[in-house]
Amino acid sequence: MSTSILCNEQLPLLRGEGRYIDDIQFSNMLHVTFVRSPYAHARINNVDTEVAKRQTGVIAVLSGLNIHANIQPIRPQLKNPGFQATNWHAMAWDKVRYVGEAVAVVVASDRYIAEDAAEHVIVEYEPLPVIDSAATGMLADSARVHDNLNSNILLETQSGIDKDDPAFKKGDIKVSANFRHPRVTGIPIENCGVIADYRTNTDELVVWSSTQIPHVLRDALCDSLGISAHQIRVIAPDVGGGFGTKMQALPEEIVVSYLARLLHRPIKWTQDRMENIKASFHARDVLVEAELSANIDGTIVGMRAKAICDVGAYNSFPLTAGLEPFTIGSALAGPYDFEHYSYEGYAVSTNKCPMGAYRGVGFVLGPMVMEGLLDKLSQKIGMDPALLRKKNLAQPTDFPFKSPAGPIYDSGDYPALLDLALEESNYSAWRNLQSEARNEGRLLGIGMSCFIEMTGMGRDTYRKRGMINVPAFDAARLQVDRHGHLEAFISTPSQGQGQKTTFAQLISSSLGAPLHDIKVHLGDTATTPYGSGTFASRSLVSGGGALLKATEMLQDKLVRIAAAYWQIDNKDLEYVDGRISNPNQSSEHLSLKDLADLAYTPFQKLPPSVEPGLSVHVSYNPPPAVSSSAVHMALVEIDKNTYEVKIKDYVVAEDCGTKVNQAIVEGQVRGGVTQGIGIALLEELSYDSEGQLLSGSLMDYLVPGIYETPVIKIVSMETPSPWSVGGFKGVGESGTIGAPATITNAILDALEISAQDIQLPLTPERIFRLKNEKKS
Amino acid sequence: MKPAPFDYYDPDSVEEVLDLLQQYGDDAKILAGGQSLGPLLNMRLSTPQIIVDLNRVADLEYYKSDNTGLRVGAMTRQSTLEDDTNLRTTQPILAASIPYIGHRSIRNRGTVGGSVAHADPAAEWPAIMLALDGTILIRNTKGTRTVDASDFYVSALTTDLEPDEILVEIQLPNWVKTSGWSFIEFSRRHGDFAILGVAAYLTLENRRCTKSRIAIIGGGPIPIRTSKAESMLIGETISDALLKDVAEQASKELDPDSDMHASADYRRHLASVLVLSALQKATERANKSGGK
Repeated sequence: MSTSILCNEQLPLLRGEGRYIDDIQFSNMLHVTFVRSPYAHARINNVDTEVAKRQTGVIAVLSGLNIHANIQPIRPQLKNPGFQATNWHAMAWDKVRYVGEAVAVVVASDRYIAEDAAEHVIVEYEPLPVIDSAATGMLADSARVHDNLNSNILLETQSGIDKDDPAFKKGDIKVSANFRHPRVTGIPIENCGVIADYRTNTDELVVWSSTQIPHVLRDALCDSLGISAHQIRVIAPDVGGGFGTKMQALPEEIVVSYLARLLHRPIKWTQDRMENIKASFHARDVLVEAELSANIDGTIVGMRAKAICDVGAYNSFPLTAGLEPFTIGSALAGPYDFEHYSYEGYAVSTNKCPMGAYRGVGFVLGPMVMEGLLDKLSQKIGMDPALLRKKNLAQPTDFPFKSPAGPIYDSGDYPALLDLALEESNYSAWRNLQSEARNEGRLLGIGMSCFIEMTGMGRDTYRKRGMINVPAFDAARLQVDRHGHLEAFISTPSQGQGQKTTFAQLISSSLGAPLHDIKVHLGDTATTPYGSGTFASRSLVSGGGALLKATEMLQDKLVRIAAAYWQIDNKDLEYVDGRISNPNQSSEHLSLKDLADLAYTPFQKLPPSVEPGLSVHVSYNPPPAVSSSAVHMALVEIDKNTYEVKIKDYVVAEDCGTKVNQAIVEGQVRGGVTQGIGIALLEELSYDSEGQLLSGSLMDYLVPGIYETPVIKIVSMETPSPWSVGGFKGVGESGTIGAPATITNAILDALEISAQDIQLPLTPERIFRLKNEKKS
Repeated sequence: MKPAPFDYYDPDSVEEVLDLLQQYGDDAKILAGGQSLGPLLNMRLSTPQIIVDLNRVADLEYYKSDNTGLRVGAMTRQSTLEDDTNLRTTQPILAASIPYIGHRSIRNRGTVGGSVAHADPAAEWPAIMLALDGTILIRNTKGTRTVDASDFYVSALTTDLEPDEILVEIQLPNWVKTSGWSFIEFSRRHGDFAILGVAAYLTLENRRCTKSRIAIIGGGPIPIRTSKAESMLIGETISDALLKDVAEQASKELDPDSDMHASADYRRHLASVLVLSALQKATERANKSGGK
C-alpha cells in the first residue's frame, strides 16, 4: 500500500499561504496580553488595575480576583487512589504557583497598547517559600504548593512485584545508575494562540485555537464556562507543530473565551515565544534510579526502578500529572523478556510551569534507562553490547508478548530488526574504526538502543490508569456526493504531519477513487465527528482505523444499492477497483459515480432498508496499544580538547506495521530523531532555587538546527499489527524515544566510562566533568 | 513581546544624527542593523525614549583599502565584507571570523559599527579589533576623535562612547605579510555566541617572534588581550613547549563567568586548548608566509 506521494496539503504552507491563528483577522477584533507572576510562589494581596484601565485604547482589565467566581478551575480527574486533584484557576487569584502564571488580563485595541497598559497593573505579592525541585517537594516538612493537599505528591503508583523480592537478588550481577531527563518543551514553530468570537444571533462561541484536541478542548471549555457543547464550536486551523505541547487545555483559551462572551467582541491572544517557553507546558524533568540484576551469561533476571517526576504546579487537562510516571512504568522493560520487575513512580508538584505531554512521553525513559544499564552490564561481563541485547530480546514466536512491565505487545520481530540495524550500520566496521581511533588517541564511540513505542492507545490503557478525561476513541464520517466525489471528516487533526494526504491515500486505495476526487476535513468540532484528537501517535491507528472501517461500511452500502438495481443477491457482488460488475452481464458495471447518482436519486426498487444518500459515520475504539519497534545506532566522535560531540553516522531500523506513505513515515522519524538529539545534547529548561527560569529564550534554550543534525539512514521492516484495523502502528514519537539513549551510550562508549549519574543533555561542560571525574 | 513606545527618527546624514544625539543624549538609542537592539526592545529589556535609525545614512556604508589600511564605515553589513574574497588575502583573520557572526540572515542586516559598539564580550568583532590593533573613529557635533581598540572596551556592554557620539568608522592596519594568524571559536551550536573564542596573530622575523597578539572573547566581561602571555613570545623562537606555557598563561589571565552554558573552569580549560591550537596554526602560517 505504501507510496511516497507528495503531500499536496503542504504546498500552500510552503508558499506562505497557511492560515494560522495570527493570520485570522476580524475588523472589530480586540487583543489581550496577560500580566504574569514574577514570583514562583507568592500570596496575592492585591491587584490594582485602575491606572491600566485608564490608558487610551484599553477596553478592560480583569484580574483573577475579578473572574475566579465565574470560571470553574481546570481540575482533571484520575480514578486512582494515589492521586490528588488540583484546582488550576484560569488566572491566579489567591496565590501564584509558578513564574509566568497569569494574574490579570488586559484587553485593548491592539497588542502594543495592551502590553503598555499591562505595565501599569500593580500586583502586591507576598513571597512564600519556593518548592524548587521534586526532591525538596517530597521532604516531609516541605512547604506545600497546594495548601489544601496532604503532600506535594500528586500521584504515587506501583507496579510489578514487591521491590524486596528475593528473586531479584538471585542474579549474579547487579548494575545500577541514576538517569536524569531534563525539563524540556516542544518548541513548535507556531506558538499557541486563540481567538474567540461570541455570536449573539446563534448563541454560539466560536473558538479558533492552535490545538491538537478540538473536541476535548470543547469539553474543557464547557466545564470551565458552564455552558453546553452545542454553544461552542472549536476550530483548529493550520497548526504549526504541536508535539504534545498543544494537547492540554491552556488557561488562556478559557480566559479569551470568557472575555468574548463578556464583551461581545472577537478577542485574540497570540502567544509570544517567551510566553511559550515560560508558561505553556513543559515536559519530563524526571529522575529514574534503576538497577538491573543479571546472570553471568548476560541473561537479565530483573529490574527495579523508581521514577520521580517534577510535574510543576498543577495537574494539566486531560492527562493529569500521572502522564509521565504511568508511562515510564510501562516503558522501562522495553522489548526485553525477563522475569522480575518492580516499579514505583511519583509525580511531585513544585513551583514550576505545569507539565504536559511532549513527543515520547515516558517512553524516552525506557531506552535511556534500560539501554544504559545494558551497556554497563556489557562492560561488566565483557560481552558485546549487540550480543547482549540479542540474548534478551523477546522472540517473534512470543507474541502476543506480555512485557515484564505489564503491557502486552501485539507483534514484531525484534532480533531481525536489530540484525537489520547492525547490517545497515556495518557494525563490525564501526568497531574497527573505533579501535583505530583509540590508537590515535581519538574519542570515538558507538551507541545503540532497542525499544518499543506503544501507540494509538485505546480505552483499556487509559481507563486502567484511571484517566477518564480522554475519550480514547476516534471517529470518521465519509460521504460521497452525487457526482461520486468523496469527503471525509476525521477527529484526529493535523499539526503538519500530512494526515490529509495519508487519509486521502487510504480512501483512494480502498475505494479505487482518484486522489483529486477526495477531500479530507479535520479540526472543526462542527463538522468532524467527536473523538480524542491527535497525540500519542494515534492519528493513523485510531483516526485512520475509523476511516478504513468507514470505507468498508460504504462499500457494503454500494453493494446493496447495486444488488437492488440489478435485482440480484448481495453475496454475488463485490466492489473492486472503484466499481461493481454484474456477474450475469459481464459488460455491465456500476462505477462509484453511477452508484452515487443512484443513491441520491433513489430508484423505486431500492428497498427501505437502504437509506438514500451516501454517508457513513464510524467510531473506533483502538486496541489497548499497538507497539512499533525500532533500533537506533550512532557513531559519535568527541573532540578531546573541547568535548564537542559530532554525530558521524546515525542509523534507524524501524517497524511501524503497515505503512501508507513511506515519505511521511521517514519525515516523522527524522524530525523525531532531531528532537531526540536536542534532548541528548542541547535542550534544558533550568530554574534557579527561587524558581526563576534561566533559559527563557531561544538564545538559552538551544534546539538543534540543520548543522547539528546528521544524515539519518532509515531502513524498514513491516510487521502488520494483528490487532489494529489496517495493521497500522503509530510512528510519531519513535525517533525521539530512541535518540537520547543512543547518543548517550555512544558518548559514554567514546569516553570508556561507566557513569553512575547521567544527566542529559550531555553538554560539552558535562562531558568535561565526566572525563575529569574519571581521571581523579 | 512588543516594544514600549518610542519616538523614531530616520535622518539621512551624519550631521543630523549628531544633532539628534546632541539634543537627546542618554534618552536616545542608535539603531543600526537591529540584530541586538531589536530583541532588546521587543523583550522590553531596553526602553529608550528615542530611536535614531542610521539605515538611511548612506555615507556610513562603505569600505576601502589604501596604504594606511582598511577603513570600514559603521553601517557596512557583515555580509558585504564576507562576500569580498579579496579580504581573505588582505585581511585574512577578519575574513575568517565573519562567518562566525550569527547566521547569514543576521549578517545581511547586522553592521560592523553595531557589533563593535554593542561590545558584547562574546562577539567576534571586538576580538578582531584587539588582535589587529584596530582604531575607532568617533564623531560628535564638535568634531572627531580616534580611540585604540584596547582603550575602547570599558566594562560589560560598555564602551568609551559618550551619549552624544557615534562610531563612524573602524580602521585596521594593513596586514604584515610575514605574519601568521588563526581565529578559533567554540560555541554550543553553529551561529551561537562564543563560549570562548581566540584571535591570534604572530609576526616572525629570522624565526623569532617580533609581535604577538592573543585576543579572547567569552573570557570575561570585556574582550581581552592576554598581554602577559603575549609578551612571553617576544624575542623567542617558537617551540611547542613554549606555546603550551603561553596558552596556560593566557587562560590564567581570564576572569570568565559561570553561566548555564559553561562554568568558569570549563571556559579556562577551553582557553588553554584553543589558545594553543590558535598559536600552533598561526606559527604554521607565519612559517609558510616566509617569516622564518
